[in-house]
Amino acid sequence: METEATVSEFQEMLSERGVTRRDFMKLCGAVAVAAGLTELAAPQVAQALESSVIGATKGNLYPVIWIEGASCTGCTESFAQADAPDPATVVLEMISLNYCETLSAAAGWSMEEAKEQTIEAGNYILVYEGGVLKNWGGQALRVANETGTDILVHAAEKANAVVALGSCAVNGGWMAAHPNPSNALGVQQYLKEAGVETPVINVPGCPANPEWLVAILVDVVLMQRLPALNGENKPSVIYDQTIHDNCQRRGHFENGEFVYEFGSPEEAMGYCLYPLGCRGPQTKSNCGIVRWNHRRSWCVESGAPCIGCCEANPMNPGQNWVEVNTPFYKRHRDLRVGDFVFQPGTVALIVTAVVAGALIVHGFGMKVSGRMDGGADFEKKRAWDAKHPDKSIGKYDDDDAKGGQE
Amino acid sequence: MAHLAHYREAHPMPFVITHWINLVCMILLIITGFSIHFPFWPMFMGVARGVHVFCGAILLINCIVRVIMAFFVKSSPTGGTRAQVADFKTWLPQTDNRHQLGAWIKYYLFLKKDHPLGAKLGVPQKISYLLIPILILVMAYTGFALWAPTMDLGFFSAGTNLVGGLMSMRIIHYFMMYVFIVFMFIHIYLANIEGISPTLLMFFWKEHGGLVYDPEKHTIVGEDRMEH
Repeated sequence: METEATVSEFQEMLSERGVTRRDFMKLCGAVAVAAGLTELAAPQVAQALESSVIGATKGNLYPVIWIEGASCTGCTESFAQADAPDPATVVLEMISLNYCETLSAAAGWSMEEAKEQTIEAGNYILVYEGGVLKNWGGQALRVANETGTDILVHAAEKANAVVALGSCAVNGGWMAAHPNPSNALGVQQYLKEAGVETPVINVPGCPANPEWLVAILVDVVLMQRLPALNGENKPSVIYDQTIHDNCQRRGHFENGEFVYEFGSPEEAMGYCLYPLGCRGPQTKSNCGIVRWNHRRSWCVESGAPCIGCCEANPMNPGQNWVEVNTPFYKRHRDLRVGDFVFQPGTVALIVTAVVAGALIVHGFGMKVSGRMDGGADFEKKRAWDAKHPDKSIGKYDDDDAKGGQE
Repeated sequence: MAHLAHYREAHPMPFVITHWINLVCMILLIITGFSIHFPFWPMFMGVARGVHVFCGAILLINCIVRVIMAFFVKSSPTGGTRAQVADFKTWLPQTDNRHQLGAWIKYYLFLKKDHPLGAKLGVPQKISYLLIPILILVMAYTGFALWAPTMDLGFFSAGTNLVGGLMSMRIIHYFMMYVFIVFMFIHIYLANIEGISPTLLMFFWKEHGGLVYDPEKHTIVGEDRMEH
């Protein structure tokens, strides 16, 4: 079976589609920006494109395997809204999407065979969407007589890199939220446990922004390199700053102009959503720069406080964004002790009030026992000293004037 | 009326100053902290953030300076005396306090009628005061882990990772503030419930007569009325 798609000669391909050199350079500029470079890098991108597999006369497209774990396919849907290059261009002319449960036209045995051949040939990228379910021996995601966990390990072993796409793939996401019955976790952690050393690129988000995956594909496929990653294996250019750092409502935050209630005049004026539980200050992602839906808008611009969907510690499923950020409209998450769920502020206030109440009661005790005017009279001798006269701490002299006797 | 004499030697001027700084910084930190957590006074938000970071830094520096000064400044080991020792010795276990923890607890719970003899700082008092510098360090650490300019430094981000992210770090910072508030309630209550003299000495260096304690004999040996 043919597993490698081919393209016509690069320039020919462009002119056939009515793409002028000028259009091409504009695209290169857009691609450079998507990859986190400035538009000044457009010439390098153009050169990379021209000399890449796409630009080659009979080049091989970069094979990609896209596997669904415990996912809602929301990240696939999101990717299908990619702006420039559009998903059709990516799928047909940039990569060879050899296996994708959602997007592939083929199905069944021939698909599985295509995947197997791609894995055998090597030099491909694995995109894994959704959480890894460890419970029940991985049977929850059993496909083609192979357990879900085996499918991941098998496909990841020979891949050049694994892209863990979406918060679920990064650390379990929704799947790992309490009580996490399926023992969901992220790709990086599972592969580490399984002893697979393939590098993992974590791309959290619920869903992941399409431009983020495109940026990574541009890096890997066109620039032939992995993007610069931070300590959590997330692309630095996307995940090293908070939403708050680049928020368009930041000016209102600085001015102290806040929305306290949906539907209020403050909301109409586009004030800062911080009091409504916005997780922008603690969520790292460049949503406000890349934006969503063909770069038209994004959550905060459209009036919704950030709910922190990009929070995902790859090695800690307990730090999934749902657990960490609910209830979304409160400034604090809920804490849980057994089945008892509470807000930190409520418990802190109750404890403080109990202490204050106890002190007031104690104060009445002090009043009643007559200690408020200088305290009770001092003991003449420590009780311990009275019991242990041979080892007495104090050197009590009966001739000394004793305290509290006047 | 049976308290010990309140002499300036118990709280030398440098410690009066550090105590003032602690008070002002903590009050401002708590007010601004509440405001940062939820902007009750929106127009105050920008100021609150600046004041919060500034007071946090001052509180931390003040704490370090206070601990260092304990080795160079002398203070009285007990109340009711003008004798002085190196201040750090008054923070270690003292003979005057030995076997007195139970007595103090019983006294506070009204199970013991007479006032326990002891050092300048009674047993529960000393233990709780010693927790304060530790608490200040925890607040500084969690605070810097939440402050954008320092949150990405490995020393802080490693801790953030350990506790489960910035939200957990925020909640720890928040709970610790309540520990301060509860401490202040108890501290202010106990320092003043038996009379305002300790407060007048601590803040305004105003002396007050009372019983005289001999740190050598570990007991009360007389009275100094100071013409009251």
